[in-house]
Amino acid sequence: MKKVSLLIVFVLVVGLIWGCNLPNNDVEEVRTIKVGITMYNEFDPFTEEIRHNIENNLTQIADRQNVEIVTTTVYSSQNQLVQNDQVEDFIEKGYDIICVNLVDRTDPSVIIETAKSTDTPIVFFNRELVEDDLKRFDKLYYVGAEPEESGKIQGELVLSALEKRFDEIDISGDGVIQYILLEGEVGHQDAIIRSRVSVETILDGGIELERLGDEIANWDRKQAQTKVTSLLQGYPRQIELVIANDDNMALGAVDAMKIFRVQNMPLIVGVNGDQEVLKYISDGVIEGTALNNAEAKGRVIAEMAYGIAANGKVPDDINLVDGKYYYVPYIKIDRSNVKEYIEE
Amino acid sequence: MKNRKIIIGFIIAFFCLLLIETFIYLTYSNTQKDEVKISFIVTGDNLDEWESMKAGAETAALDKDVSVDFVNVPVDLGSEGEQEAVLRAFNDGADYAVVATSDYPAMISFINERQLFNKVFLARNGALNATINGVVADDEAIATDFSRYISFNYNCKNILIVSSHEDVNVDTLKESLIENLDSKGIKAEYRLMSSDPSVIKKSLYNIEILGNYDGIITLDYYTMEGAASGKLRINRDIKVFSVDNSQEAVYYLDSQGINALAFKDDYSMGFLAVLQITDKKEYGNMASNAPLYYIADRENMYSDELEKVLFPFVK
Amino acid sequence: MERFDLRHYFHRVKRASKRRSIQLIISLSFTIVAILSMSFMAFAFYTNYINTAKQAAIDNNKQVVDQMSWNLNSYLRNMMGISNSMYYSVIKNMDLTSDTMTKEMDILYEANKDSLISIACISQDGALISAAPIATRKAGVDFTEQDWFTNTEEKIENFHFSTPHVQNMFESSNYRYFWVVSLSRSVDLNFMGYTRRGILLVDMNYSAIEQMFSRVNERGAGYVYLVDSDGEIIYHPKQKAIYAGLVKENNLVDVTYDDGDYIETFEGDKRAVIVKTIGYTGWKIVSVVPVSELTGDYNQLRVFMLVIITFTIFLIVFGNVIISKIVTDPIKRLEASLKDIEEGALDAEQVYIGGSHEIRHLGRTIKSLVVQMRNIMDERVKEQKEKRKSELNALQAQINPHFLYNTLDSIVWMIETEKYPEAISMITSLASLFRISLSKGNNIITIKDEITHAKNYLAIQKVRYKNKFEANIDIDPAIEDCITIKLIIQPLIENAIYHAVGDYDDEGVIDIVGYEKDGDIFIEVRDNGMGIPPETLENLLKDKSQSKGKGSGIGLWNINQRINLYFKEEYGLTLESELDVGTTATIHLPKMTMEEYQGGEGREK
Repeated sequence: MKKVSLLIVFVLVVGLIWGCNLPNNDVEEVRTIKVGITMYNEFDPFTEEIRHNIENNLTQIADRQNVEIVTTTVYSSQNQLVQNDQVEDFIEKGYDIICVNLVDRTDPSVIIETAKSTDTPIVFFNRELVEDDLKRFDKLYYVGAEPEESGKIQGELVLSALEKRFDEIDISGDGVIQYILLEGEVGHQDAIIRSRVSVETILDGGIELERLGDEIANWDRKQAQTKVTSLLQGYPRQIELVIANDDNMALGAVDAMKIFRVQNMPLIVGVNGDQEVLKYISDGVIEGTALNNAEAKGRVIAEMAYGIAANGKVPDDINLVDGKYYYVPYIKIDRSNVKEYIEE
Repeated sequence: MKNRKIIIGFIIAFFCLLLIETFIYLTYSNTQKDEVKISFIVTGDNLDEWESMKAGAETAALDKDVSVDFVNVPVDLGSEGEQEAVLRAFNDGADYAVVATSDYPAMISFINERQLFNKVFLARNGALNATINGVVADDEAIATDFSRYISFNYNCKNILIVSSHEDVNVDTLKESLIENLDSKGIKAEYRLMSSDPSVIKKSLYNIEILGNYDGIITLDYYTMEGAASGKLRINRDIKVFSVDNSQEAVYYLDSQGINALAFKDDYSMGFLAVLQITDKKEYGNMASNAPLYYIADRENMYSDELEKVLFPFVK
Repeated sequence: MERFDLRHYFHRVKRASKRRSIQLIISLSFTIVAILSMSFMAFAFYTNYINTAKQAAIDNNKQVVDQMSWNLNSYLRNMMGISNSMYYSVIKNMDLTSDTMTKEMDILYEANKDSLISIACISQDGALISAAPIATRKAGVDFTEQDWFTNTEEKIENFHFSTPHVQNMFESSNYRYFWVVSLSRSVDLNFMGYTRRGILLVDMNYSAIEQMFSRVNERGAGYVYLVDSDGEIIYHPKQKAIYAGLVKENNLVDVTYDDGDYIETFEGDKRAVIVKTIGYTGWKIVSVVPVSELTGDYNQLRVFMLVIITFTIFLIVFGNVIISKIVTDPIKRLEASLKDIEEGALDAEQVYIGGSHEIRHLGRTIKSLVVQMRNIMDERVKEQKEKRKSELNALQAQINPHFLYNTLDSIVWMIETEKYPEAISMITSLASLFRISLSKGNNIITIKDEITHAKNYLAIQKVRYKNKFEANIDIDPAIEDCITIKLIIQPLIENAIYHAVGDYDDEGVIDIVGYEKDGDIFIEVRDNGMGIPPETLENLLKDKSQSKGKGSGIGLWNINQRINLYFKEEYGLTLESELDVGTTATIHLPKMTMEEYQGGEGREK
């Protein structure tokens, strides 16, 4: 009898203590998934397209899965400190997952540490952080594209164009292609690799190249226009090829050329698949572009975000490299296939 | 009445307890262990020379209650200066002294005379099999390894061994070098140089010009410097081998003034010298497998292994 | 075996404890409970405090590590910034066939002299393009063989950090060699429009990192070290000793930890390890503090706690003993006082009354019980005594019918012989005899009355026995007013006549003597008869059931009993007899007047 009562007391005490430690996991009837998105800059059309796609896809998923998904987007105005605060703010407000388009891809420490300390998963996109950083926490993911591929596509576009009409392009007729390079942001992995791979691909194709200029235009149309204008002042007729790290800068080059009234438009290649660029491609102003599939990126990010937030794992149909990376393939767009991608 | 007795008894017991506990409390709250103070007495005009040993000793003292200080005895004062410095160190409250002596026999007789067997230890300089405890690189092993290295890598036939002074280390080295080289069919002879650096330089230059020898082994700093600069300026074909652990020797090795260097690891010696005082057991484990010397040449001087030994971290 | 012993011991203790007093039980159980709860509380507080303190120490170290990581991070970012500005602002815009970057490099170097050893730009084939501050390549150095050179080409978009190594590319001055950490990146070099790959190398001064750490390591407790992502040591306070194999470090295990704090055991020592990753490089700052250091300062606390606990326990024991004593003392005293009563002395005054209310009540109750019992018993005894008295008195009061018959016969005979005066005297005597015999029912009368009674009796018997005996009465007049029990002399006279005179031919003499001696009264009745044989004499005063004489025995025993009932045991009747000489019966009475007797003072029971 005594033992029985002792046992009861013991069970009660243990139960009480255990009960105290249990978190109050009130199960909500309709689960709300909160997704935070922070973008490095609101004036980058390409990243804006990705954002737009993420939001659209999330809305679709919400309808399909009959859940409520709250999506909040903030912009960091190209300031990493602002972005750090934004991520902390998201985490404080209990967001389930945060999609981060880093400002400084070399400086994600604060974000990673905050995420880790609160066990919040983060999907980085479009700005690839180094592997050492991505390895610091098992709930960090990266969605982007392999820049080598885009560089290669650019090179191939140039090579195929040169193959068909070398003489037309080689305005000077010296057998050497004079080119200018419009680079994206300082230190951006896409900018560095695209610049190098595109040039090397052309060189490997047996073409002699001469660089007239290598300008950093920060993915910006206006900056690109300015840089190209100043280059045109130095080389009014010499530029035969413009390799732009992305379509915005390609458009900037086109703008500059138009304003400068260049008679023989050089060969221009870009990356991303901007609708305006696609029009130019069909018009023959721009040679081609590598479609950086913003739609696919947006879809993958949205699906990953939902999967991780709702089920705690990345959906099975998204195959990650090393369990962390997802690379969306590029598609080569030139005059032959541009029609498929133009949205009316 | 009875109650009163009990109360009085209790009060007495209470005060006894109070006394005992106060005593315990006071003894426990002052359990700061006494620091062991170890003085290193080194001979040399330049304390920088001992930077490595100091770093080693300080590292060993780092998380033990040990303080280490270095006393520099000018060369001019000789063995008396050293002995005086030892006594002064003890006067100043040192618990132990570690001496890198310039005059081994004098120091030994001093220790014997003063009965300082467990107070004074030797480091770097001295004989290996001494009755006095010391951390000393095995000169015979250096000689053996160095001879083997020279005979294996270089085609020298006639080697001159030089030093500017003689002490127990130089004697052991030269004798075993001659013996070992002899056994490999290399003729080796020893010559004691003058103690004046400029004279050494001159005579070594002469030797190198004459070319009677195809190799020189230097056993101390001044002869090393003379031979190495001679090789760089006068005769690049002559092979210079040095037993030394100065930064200059490393520099000459790097700039090919020296072909190979037997480098005594001062850092480890300093470390072990402290360890043999503070932690005998640990010392026993370490001393047997820690190499106290390395043979370096230009090929391997930047290897991970030797890099850390040859180049001290700059302060 | 041991178990058995233990049980045995336990039983012994249990048995012993059952015998223990209330005081022991109270103080023991109080003390045990108090000590247990005290120890539990002290233990709980102590462990809690120690854990908190430990955690505080760890948190403190964490802050230090955070600070370190911040410093190191900003240092590394600074270096990356130098590399960036060198590349993007200088090299990119430069045609290396015509321009030289030496000036810009020198400016950058001068601005960051403290943290830099050198900046160099090297082309892909290993040619030195430019370097600051020393641009003379050391003889025999091949850049392409260096580790950083090969590493850089792996991921061209990233910076690469090397492990510390001695910079051996450039001619050094003053025999100085510098330890550096190389920061390298892949760059594009422009030679008149032709692009070539190259490497931009920034050699960071290792001592800058070392200083950062050694400042922290001078604090004492524990140390902080730095490893790269492969666990290779970049900085350690005992770095050289580790390389020399003199000291071991758990770096290869520590590097596998995620950021946070851990307790690990390394070489038999328990130590708290805090790990923090530096961004971008994957380097990890590891802070190591031996657990003993974390709690080292609490030895004093431990002793203090011990002192406090022993004091408190001591006070508790003391208090318990006192309290239990206060509580149980009255009970003990009550118990002790009841011991006498237990043994039969029903003395109510001895019952202890004191202590707490309950115990006083208990004492009072017992006391009143004792008093009641005592009263009841006294009453019983008195009752019994009265009963006996009346029985005996009644027995005594019976006038021998023979005597009455003979007396009346004598009177009849006297009247017939017309001896009227004699007859009148006889009747008067008889009347007087009866009057005294009745004496208003009082059992206690004066000696004078009793003697009168005896005289009357003698007068009658003299007539009856025709003066065959002579009776002398000699009573000390001083005692005549003293009291005696009624009808105790007459039976003795009767006995004397009966034994001494009745069958005796000679003239019998009966002496009745009364005197005072030693404050008591003695009345002797002596005869000179044939005496009583000793064996009969012995039995005469014993229980009447045993004496089978001629009936006179009952009388003697009766007398003795009655005296004993009224007075103390020392008083009574004694008989002395010698055959053929006579018998003496002595009545021993307390000397007491009637007033004294009625006042209750005296030697009666």
